[in-house]
Amino acid sequence: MADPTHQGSESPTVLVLEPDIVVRSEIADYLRDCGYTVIETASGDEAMLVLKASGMHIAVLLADATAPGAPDGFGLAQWARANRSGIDVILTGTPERAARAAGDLCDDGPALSKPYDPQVVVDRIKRLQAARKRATPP
Amino acid sequence: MSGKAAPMAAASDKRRLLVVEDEVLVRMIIAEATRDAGYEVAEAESADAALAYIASGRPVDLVFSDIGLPGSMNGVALARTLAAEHPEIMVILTSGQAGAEALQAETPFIPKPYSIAEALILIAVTLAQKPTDG
Repeated sequence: MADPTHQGSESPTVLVLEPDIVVRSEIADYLRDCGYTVIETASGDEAMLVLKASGMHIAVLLADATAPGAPDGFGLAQWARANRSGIDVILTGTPERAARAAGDLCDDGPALSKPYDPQVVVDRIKRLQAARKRATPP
Repeated sequence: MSGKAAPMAAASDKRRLLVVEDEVLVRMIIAEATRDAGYEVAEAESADAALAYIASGRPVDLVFSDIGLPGSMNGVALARTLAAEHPEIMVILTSGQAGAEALQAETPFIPKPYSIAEALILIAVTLAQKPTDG
């Protein structure tokens, strides 16, 4: 199987840690549209497995500080800063902050296609979350 | 970011997959391989996350799910739930456990470990059986 982090120097890899699948998918798709390779993780445990896997070349860790797991998102960010000095660590806590951080990355990134306003991402996340709440019985 | 286009609303002709797999390194590889093959791919770590994603209204043509999953239901229960509530979504199940195929005999199944080529063929064949949208 191919290693998705080995796609050439033109496609830096962002490791996204976000437990909410709707938020994670929107942020990940946004970053992919900008040209990044994106690895999606739902917990600190998953993200740690990726960080410790051999041969991974992660450029940026975009982590929800409140993500569950052992370590949690904040703990994972601390570990990455201490043990993976080559990785830029960005902590988020809300979809708005995650979208803004993704927008900043897109401004500086490969720009495979034109990035759109992060507020568009936030608005779409809110609509999808509202639809999910309506579809889920109380 | 002002003045930049917002292509998100543009419709896509790509088929949309939802990979459901709790082993992140396996999920990462099958998701990336199917993206490289031209599919739009979302990733769920559990059946609960998969159902939450579908409930949000984002379209899904095919769910490619492991059977052994954490949370409130396994892949077999997910397949049965989708058959009842979203019959338009095709499902492929996978597992490394012997005999798992018999758990849901009516659902396409690929045993682990599978090759990417085998998985892509089964995905294409299964999608070809899906009624066309609209």
